Amino acid sequence: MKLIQIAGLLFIAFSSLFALGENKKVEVGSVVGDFILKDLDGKVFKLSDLKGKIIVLEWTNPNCPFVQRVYKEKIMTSLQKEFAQKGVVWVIINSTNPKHRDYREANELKKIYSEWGATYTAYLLDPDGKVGKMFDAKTTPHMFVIDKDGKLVYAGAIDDDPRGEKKERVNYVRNALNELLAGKAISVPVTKPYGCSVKYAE
Amino acid sequence: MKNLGFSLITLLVTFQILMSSQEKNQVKVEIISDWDGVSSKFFLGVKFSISPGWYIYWQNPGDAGLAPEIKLKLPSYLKAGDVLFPVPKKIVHGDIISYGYYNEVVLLIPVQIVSKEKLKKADVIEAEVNWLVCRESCVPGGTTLKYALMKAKDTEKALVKKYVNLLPRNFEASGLTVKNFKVERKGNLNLVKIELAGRGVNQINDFYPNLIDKFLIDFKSIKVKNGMVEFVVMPLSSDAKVNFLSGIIVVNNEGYEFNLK
Repeated sequence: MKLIQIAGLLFIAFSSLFALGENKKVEVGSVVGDFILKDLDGKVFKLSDLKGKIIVLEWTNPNCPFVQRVYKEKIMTSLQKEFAQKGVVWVIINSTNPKHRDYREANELKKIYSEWGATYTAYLLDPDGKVGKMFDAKTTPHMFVIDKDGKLVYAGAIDDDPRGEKKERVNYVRNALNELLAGKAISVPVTKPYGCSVKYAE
Repeated sequence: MKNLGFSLITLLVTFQILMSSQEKNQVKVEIISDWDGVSSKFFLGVKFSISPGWYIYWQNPGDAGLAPEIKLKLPSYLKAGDVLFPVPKKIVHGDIISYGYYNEVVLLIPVQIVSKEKLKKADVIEAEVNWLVCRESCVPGGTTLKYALMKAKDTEKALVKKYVNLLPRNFEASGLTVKNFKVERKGNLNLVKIELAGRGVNQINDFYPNLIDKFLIDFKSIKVKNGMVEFVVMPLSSDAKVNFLSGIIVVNNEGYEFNLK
């Protein structure tokens, strides 16, 4: 009888843990759970392998005009280059579902982002949108910054210029990374992201 | 050379969108008005004719997208008010909520003739209009329109009238009153609760909020039940407080302007 009770309790505990892992969304200020995705070459990428590093996650879709603009105007590429030199890991994630017309095969994505001059540590494919939903990534681009302790410290827009018409922009990601590298607290940890919706499977 | 490569790739991607949609112009824009040639107040309208299946956005686009933008250049004797948006549709793609318009919409701008002496008929009004139109994918668009101010045709007047009637009505006309309004703290988040009373309380369909300064709205959390409107917002700074709330309360599929301090 006792064995059955213990087995039952263990089952409930495991079920709860599993459910938490499935549904729990990452919030700014909390430690990011691990995830595994494949990159454009089919290699397995595990977030926990980058423990101790500052990581930027950039949600993307090359068909989105907002993404095209931030690459064309070198807003994204200049950030990528600047912070790659400072040891920051840059991870691009594409959560477009394979049935959507914005979906592109890995070799095509590789070509597009190479032409655009992107600098990244990894370009990951998230076709079932699990990781995108874990972060509640809503737009492309949507930016996230993780500190050396694995804590999410920034979530939001790349800058304060959704229409791309400001002469002087506040680049939230640059500011967050500079503050992080200087050992300061992030002054603007959350902003409203802008862009196209992430093309999740419905 | 890299710029050329970028342009070619962008061109290719855009071309694919356009070809797969089989429609080269998803949005056509024109200016209309209801000026009768005499009155000192009238509406200028920017009419968007949108290809089937595509949509443009409301003043609050929701989780993604971008509101259309209208920049007017008026003769000195005209003064324009803010752009008025008709009641939008809620557009749901999984967890991502947007607000916008399919097929056709006319955004209205109230205009006042402040100096009749300077008024010259057929003077030109210029409007720079920008928009984002989406279906599965999104395409930005923009144009500059010119409109000669003349007595409006009856068809223009009728269209303006139709969209004036589609603007959100005064809240008082809904027969509702605000019984209670509170904001509860839930960890890092705030739960906004608006309790409404009055006739029609059981016919409230939805709430379309305007953006709240210093807060992110979780649009998918908006719930309406038994006269209670509830939704979650995330403060963008530790000292942020919900001091002002506005939007559209949808009752029996009609929109009513909602402002709460």
